[in-house]
Amino acid sequence: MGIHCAEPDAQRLRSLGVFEGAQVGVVDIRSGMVLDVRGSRLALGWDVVGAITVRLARP
Amino acid sequence: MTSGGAERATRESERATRSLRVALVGNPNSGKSTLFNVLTGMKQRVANFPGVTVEHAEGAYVYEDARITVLDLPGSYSVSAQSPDEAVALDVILGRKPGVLPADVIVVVVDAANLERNLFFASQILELGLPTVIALNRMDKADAEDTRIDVPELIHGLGVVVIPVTATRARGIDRLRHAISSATSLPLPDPRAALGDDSDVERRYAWIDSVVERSVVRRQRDRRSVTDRVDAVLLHSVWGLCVFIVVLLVVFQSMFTIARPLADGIQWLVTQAGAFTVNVLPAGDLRSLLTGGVLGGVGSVLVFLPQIALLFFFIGLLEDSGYMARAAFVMDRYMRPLGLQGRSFIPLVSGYACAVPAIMATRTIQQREERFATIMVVPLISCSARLPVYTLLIAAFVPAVTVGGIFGLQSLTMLGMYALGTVAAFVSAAIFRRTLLRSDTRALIIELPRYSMPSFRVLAASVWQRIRIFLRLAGTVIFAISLLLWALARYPQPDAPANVTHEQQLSQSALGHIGHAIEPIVRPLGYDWKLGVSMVASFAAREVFVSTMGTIYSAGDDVHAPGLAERLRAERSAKSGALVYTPLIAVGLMTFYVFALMCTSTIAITVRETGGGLRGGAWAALQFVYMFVLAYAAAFVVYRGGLLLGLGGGA
Repeated sequence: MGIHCAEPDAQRLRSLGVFEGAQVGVVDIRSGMVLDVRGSRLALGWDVVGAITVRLARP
Repeated sequence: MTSGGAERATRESERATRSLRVALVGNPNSGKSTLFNVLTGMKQRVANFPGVTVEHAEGAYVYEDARITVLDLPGSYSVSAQSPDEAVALDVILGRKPGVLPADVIVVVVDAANLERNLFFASQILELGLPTVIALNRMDKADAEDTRIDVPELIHGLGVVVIPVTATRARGIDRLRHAISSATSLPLPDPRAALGDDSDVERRYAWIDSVVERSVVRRQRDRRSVTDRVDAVLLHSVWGLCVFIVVLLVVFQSMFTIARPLADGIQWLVTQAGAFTVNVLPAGDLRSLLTGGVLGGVGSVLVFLPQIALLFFFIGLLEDSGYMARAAFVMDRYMRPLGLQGRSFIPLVSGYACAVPAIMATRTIQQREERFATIMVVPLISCSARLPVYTLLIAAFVPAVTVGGIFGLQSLTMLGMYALGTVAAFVSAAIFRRTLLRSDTRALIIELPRYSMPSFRVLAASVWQRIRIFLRLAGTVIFAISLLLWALARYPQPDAPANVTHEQQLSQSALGHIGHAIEPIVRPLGYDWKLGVSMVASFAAREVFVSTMGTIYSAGDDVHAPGLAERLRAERSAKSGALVYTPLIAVGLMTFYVFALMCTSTIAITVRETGGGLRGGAWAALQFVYMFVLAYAAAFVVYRGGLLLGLGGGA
């Protein structure tokens, strides 16, 4: 995955386990985004979702 | 702790020859505060979400010959502090917080059911090279999820003592206490293993993965399916909002239905105490002080207790169950246009109970501008202290008729006042965020904890803690003001007190002189000097308005004499004989109370939370002035507009 957002937000995401190249599960993308990050659920608001690119991992 | 236990602890602490300071740190939702309760036997909050572990809580226990002081620090995700809460935690750990001694031992609470994410912060703490113990909490949850953790292997990987515990069931606590006491004599964690700062997160997680791979035996992958299925509804853009609105309605409805009889009961007790005092004491200064000053003042605070306790109970219930984080997520998109994020919604909702804890709850908002904007507008939300003012004026001046066959005009008026304050808060927030407090709105990034059944014991303990804070903060202020008002209304006394009416006596008192002096200011709003006095008095605390009106219009000792509403309705001007109070004046007055910041506790907390000292004072002054201008302008428009429309004025 790739992240392109303001540095304080990116830093927060990183400390929560969301960083460039990390493997995450996408639980919900209907409003904002809910990610499965190493077993914990992380909810991201609308604007940060636009800054995140999730690429399908090869199984 | 029982009193016997407390005595024993005191004796033990006298024997203690050694003392140790322990800092308890960890991620939010790691069960840190529960562990704190179990370790120290002191009651504290569990959840961290709306900033309940504000500042730091302290407790102590005695183990063998040592007195162990434990500091419960706010939950943190990383040592690169972002929110004020996290900054406090780091400052205490590093011994940078003035007035707080540095810790001898750090206990990192790690959620065993969420190991990798928790180890991120833990690994950063280990790099500080201080004596550290890891409390591997929620072992029961990990077991239930079929996650087998090889503790010796984890100790080997992390290089520090790891003690498995289940704080909710008080398991593993003795071993943890032993580990804490011996931590200073063990080798320190190796700071050479440093994995760089936050930007080198990839390396840190790679290291964590390698540790976890060796020590965690098996994990069930889709263990969160139930939570996910519930969240599919609760986080839905339409259904989620509907559920949230229903939750709020249920909370407010039960607050009124459950709190009303309790408040009536307290009112009855206060009235009985007043009657008892009147019976046993002769008329005079002492009796007047006890009934008018003490009972009138303390009574007016006590009546709010049930409602405030219930609101904190519900807010705690929503937090501890895990729902509050979902509500913040659902509300996020609606808060965006105001320049606020979802997290601001919880302080705003708390504002319906009391602005003081609501302002304290803004601590989890990381960005300063957003946080300050929320603080500035929270007091516009109609808190429970406005309720008695609305209730008195509505009962007196709004006819009890139904509109459209269903809704009572009185309850609609009440709802209107709440709506007015809420809309004003939203609009003011948008204005603040576009002017003084401009900045990019920070994205909402929030952990959704597992749903869990809140412990009612913990909830009750936290409600009790809030009640004590409320009584101390508001009770002392109102008590002091009630006494002052009583004295101002009673002295100087006329030479022949028997011959003058209560009104004449009041008019000649110090309070009367103040009232006449400010009459020119309140006159344009249609108020007389008595209303002016009540308003001035209630600038310290809104509740005082009702008790002041009670004091002014009381025939003598009985402040809570029934029929205050009737007396207001019947009050006529001594000069013209016209009615002093009309429905128009009442609506204008309520509008004033919707907007005006009349609460010394709120002012004090705003000063503290916006930086303290002169800077905090300036923010609080701005808050007070803008709300006063808003209140005066709104009351003026309502009154003068009403007169122009021919709705009738007063004397």
